Amino acid sequence: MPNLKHGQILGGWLAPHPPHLVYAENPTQNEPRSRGGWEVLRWGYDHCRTKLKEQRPDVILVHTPHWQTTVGHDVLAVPKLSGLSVDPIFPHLFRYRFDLQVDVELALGISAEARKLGLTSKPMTNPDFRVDYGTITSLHMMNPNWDIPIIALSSNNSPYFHDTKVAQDEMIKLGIATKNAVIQSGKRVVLAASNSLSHLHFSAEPNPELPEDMSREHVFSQSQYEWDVRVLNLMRSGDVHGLMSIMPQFIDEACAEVKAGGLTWMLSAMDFPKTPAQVHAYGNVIGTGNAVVEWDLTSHKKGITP
Amino acid sequence: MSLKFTALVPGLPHLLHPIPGSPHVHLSATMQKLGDVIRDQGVQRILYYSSQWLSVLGTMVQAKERLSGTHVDPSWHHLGSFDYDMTVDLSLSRQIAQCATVAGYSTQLIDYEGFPVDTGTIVANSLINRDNVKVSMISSWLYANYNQIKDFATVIGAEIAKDPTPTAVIGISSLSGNYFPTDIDPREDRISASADDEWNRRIIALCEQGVLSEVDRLAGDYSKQCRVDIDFKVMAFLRGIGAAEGHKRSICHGYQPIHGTGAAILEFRP
Repeated sequence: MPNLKHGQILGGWLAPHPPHLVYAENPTQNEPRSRGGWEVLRWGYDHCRTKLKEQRPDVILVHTPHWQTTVGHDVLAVPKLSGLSVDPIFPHLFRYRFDLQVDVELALGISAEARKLGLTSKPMTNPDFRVDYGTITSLHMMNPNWDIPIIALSSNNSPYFHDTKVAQDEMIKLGIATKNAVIQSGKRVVLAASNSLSHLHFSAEPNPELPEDMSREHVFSQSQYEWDVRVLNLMRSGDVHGLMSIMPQFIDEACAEVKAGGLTWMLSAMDFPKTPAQVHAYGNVIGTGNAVVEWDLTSHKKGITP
Repeated sequence: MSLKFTALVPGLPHLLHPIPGSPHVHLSATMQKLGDVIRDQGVQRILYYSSQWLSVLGTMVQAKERLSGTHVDPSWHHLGSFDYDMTVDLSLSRQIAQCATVAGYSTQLIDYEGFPVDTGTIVANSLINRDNVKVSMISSWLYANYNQIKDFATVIGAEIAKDPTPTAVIGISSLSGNYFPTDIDPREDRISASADDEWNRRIIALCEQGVLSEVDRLAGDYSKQCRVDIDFKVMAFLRGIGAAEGHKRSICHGYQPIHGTGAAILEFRP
């Protein structure tokens, strides 16, 4: 039976995923314990948690750079996944027991729409799949109760295999495919781009005895900071055209993690909104630049609809 | 001399249950035969160095005594789930970490339930180590260059040489890394570009001739041209540890494509 009620994208979040943020919060799901740390970024995520409680979306979609797929843009499509996710880089900080529900119907829709647009895409249907820490960190920070179904999209390695231009073009198509599938689904959806901004980091933990030693945390370099602020100001002013124009340079000069495509995907799915974004927090984690940023499409209109 | 056997092998999951009629069948069978040779030589432990286990904050050495579970490759998830069960030689791992640390390399022992073992190590171990001898494994430090990895491996090699336990060192890496960006019929697999094929054959020939200093010299260009896994630093590791010493001829047991990439099974004479 056709779905007569059109779906909506309610908004999108830049939702960085340093595992330090989960570690610092000491949730029951994560085994290591901390004394806190990175509070400003975590307070930024509080805005997201509050907003999601108000909006009650049907699904949260996240694009993650830490599920890399060689062939195509794959979509998580197993109804329920649980297990232990250990960060391969920071295992002393992140050993998280996850238990999540996936909206398989919408996942299949996104994958099908992507194929219609000429992209290679497969639903990921293996029930033994281990969900990556990028997906888990962003989603935990957004909604620690995990009471909203999710969908994770992989990052195809096209930025590394081809070049930034080809990769960004693919992500624009993936965004369109996502939007089309959401509209057809009749569901209310929130998007998340699981990315840091500048991504150069320290080559060793400044204080291995106390990873949350905030006296040792700072931005990797002034030029990285200036790049992050430049990008955030474009977001704050709603200059999405300017943002997209400098994206390749930002990627090259700041080693920005947006290279993986999540931000472009999200902006494309939201029709490149000129809505000023709200920067809820900016902070550094082991030298990288991270911001919690919201595009609220419901504040000016009723989300992306046909 | 405790180094009994050394080889470079591929580590993509296509080899675990190869599609009949695909070139992966030959690679898979050859790796199993290599396992027989290792057993016949009395090897009592295997040290793996995989291009698919990446570390950022220095080098990691596996130190969890038993590694078992079910693995799904993030990229090739449709190829299935693979059970693994390995026993780690803790004394070897600790020995490696200690000597590396003393030599000034930032090194971490990793002992965590659920820590992800990489696909390459699981593939190699499943095919080569059917007798389940003890293993150890070292991560590929992403930010070290070819020569730094070679120097690092020299330190490890000197330490292993002090211990009489017969040891195999297996490097796990693709050669050319240019995948087909779309799905293909595995029976029609081929090296994705003729230039890659030429490079791969050139490198294999140099190994067969024992001109390994030339491999060192070309590693940078080769990696750049053909997207070799982590800049061919697995070869640097093998060179440094003494697995692929200059002027000793190597044997190429197989060279085939895996989804467009180059995959060779090279046995080095220690």
